[in-house]
Amino acid sequence: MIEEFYDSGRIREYIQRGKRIIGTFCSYTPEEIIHAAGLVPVRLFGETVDIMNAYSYIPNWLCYYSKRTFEEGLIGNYDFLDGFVFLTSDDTNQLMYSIWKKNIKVEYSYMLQFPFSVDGTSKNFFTKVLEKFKRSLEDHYSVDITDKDLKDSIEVYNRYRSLLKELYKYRFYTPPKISGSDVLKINLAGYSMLKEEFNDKIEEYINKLSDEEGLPDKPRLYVTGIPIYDPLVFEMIESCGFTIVFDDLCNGSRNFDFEINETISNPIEAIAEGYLLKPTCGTCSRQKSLAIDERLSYINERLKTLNPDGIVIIGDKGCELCAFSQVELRKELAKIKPVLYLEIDFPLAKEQHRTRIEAFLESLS
Amino acid sequence: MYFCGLDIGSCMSKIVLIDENEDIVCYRSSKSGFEIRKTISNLYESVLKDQNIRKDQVKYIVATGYGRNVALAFFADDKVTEITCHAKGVHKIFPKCHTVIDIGGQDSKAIRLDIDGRVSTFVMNDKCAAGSGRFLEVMSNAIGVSVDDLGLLSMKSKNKATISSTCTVFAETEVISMIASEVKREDIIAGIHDAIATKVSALTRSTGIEDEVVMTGGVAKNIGVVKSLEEKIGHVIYVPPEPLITGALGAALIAKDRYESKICDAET
Repeated sequence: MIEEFYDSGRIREYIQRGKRIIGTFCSYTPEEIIHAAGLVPVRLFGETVDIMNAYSYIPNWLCYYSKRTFEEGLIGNYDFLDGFVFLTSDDTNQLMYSIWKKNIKVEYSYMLQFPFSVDGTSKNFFTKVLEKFKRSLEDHYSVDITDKDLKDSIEVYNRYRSLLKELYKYRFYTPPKISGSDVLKINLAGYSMLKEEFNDKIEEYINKLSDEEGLPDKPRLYVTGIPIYDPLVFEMIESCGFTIVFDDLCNGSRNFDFEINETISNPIEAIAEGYLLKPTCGTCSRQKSLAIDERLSYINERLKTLNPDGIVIIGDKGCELCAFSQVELRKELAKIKPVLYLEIDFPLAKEQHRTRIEAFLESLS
Repeated sequence: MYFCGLDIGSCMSKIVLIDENEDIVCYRSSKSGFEIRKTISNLYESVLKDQNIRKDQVKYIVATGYGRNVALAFFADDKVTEITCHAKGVHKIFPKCHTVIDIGGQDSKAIRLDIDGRVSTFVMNDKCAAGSGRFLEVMSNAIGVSVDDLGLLSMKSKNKATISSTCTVFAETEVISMIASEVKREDIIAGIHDAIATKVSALTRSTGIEDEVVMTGGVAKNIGVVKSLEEKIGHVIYVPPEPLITGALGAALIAKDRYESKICDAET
């Protein structure tokens, strides 16, 4: 059933229908505006494991995601892209923009300036940034993005987020109705689909899921950390005898655990506010509180309701956001539940990781 | 009635046989090599033959280490990770141990034990040979001294060299340039031990250190690394008489536990 979500031909089909594809890299990208311009925003995964060409341009200590996406760009796997949109959400993203611009030929490119803190000033600033972005899309693609277009797109994306929220609930069942790996695969499939199409599919899937029998009951894990665009990582963890009942990855709950206020009259302002208030990855924080404390309180809230047996933090040596936060996260979370830290690098050193995961399981029993 | 623990490590395979009183009857080790299955069978059969023990007298076999899945597929009754096994084995020898530092051929780990000897937390090094037995092997090769002699030789050092790199490949380059500048052999070796100890002490500190601290794995046989590590973490380090076999001993003890609970389940 999961397989039907995956369809590598879908993007080509959109192009045949006259649609143009815009690549995105970060869950802070306000895809609603791209969608309202009649374009198809597609989050890029970077499926290539073998990095052959990228190291001629970038150092090997960058995060796996930036290396893999750039490699795919270089070898032409993203030739379907009409453009790409970057954000200044972290240092790597910000600096990769110019390297992409110099080396990957597309018709359109844009970098959005994302604020570091959340308050009234930054909301006004981000609203202006998004208005400028809207104008840039209008100019380049010769379209008018009306308030109605934006509001329609907000509705589609709000439905997308609430459906994913609903899907995640089936993981908390005792026993769970769906594994973490399968949810991740569905999530990934959604990234390269027009959300209105994905929404219908996922709604149908959720309806079927409610009648499904539960999975075998296994120790339950909460997973937090970097974006995981490779189902292999979750499959590896779950095959050692766990079920991942929740993940707040950048491409997990942090991607949908917010909504855009449909009652605000200026839709761009509503989008700016929505994304600024989205669960943080450590890149920005509310005024008067540290980003790390915000992450912790988000996790703690969920731990209270989910009561998992353990927590796995997935890190990446090349990710500065997780490098600077993981020590504090580990220390604080270990006060609540047993914690395992996995530092992921590709190709995966599977046996080493399996030893850690199995030992973690043994220590819980 | 006997119980067997097998620890198939990246470099060495170890076997321990215990009796129903948990006393070690026999232990042995050999290079793991490429043909793990053959290594396992040879070790097992040679131990049984020497001790005049029949196969049916061995009631339960637990495999651990990198080769545990291979052993489970054709031979063992169960598998357990080396982290749990080292904890179990060390707790048997040092009941007051709360921190285990294990440096094996390919990885190093720090394990924290609770009062009952259960694993409370652990860390392992990542895809990197620095701070492992492999690091010592590469260096011993570069300076032309057998791995077994490194420890005592380093004790003669009066002017320890500094190896700045934590990467095995680059550290070897540093060592080679020291050889070219005629730095004394014992000083280079002492520097190499220090480099390992620096890496492993950082790893150990991340789990917190609580007495007693016990070091296991082949590298624990190297007095130079043990002393340097003691200095860096500021705790006395105890080393079991045979640090190589604590994982296999733990596996044998778990084999006995599992056999007993199986019998118990069958009776109820």
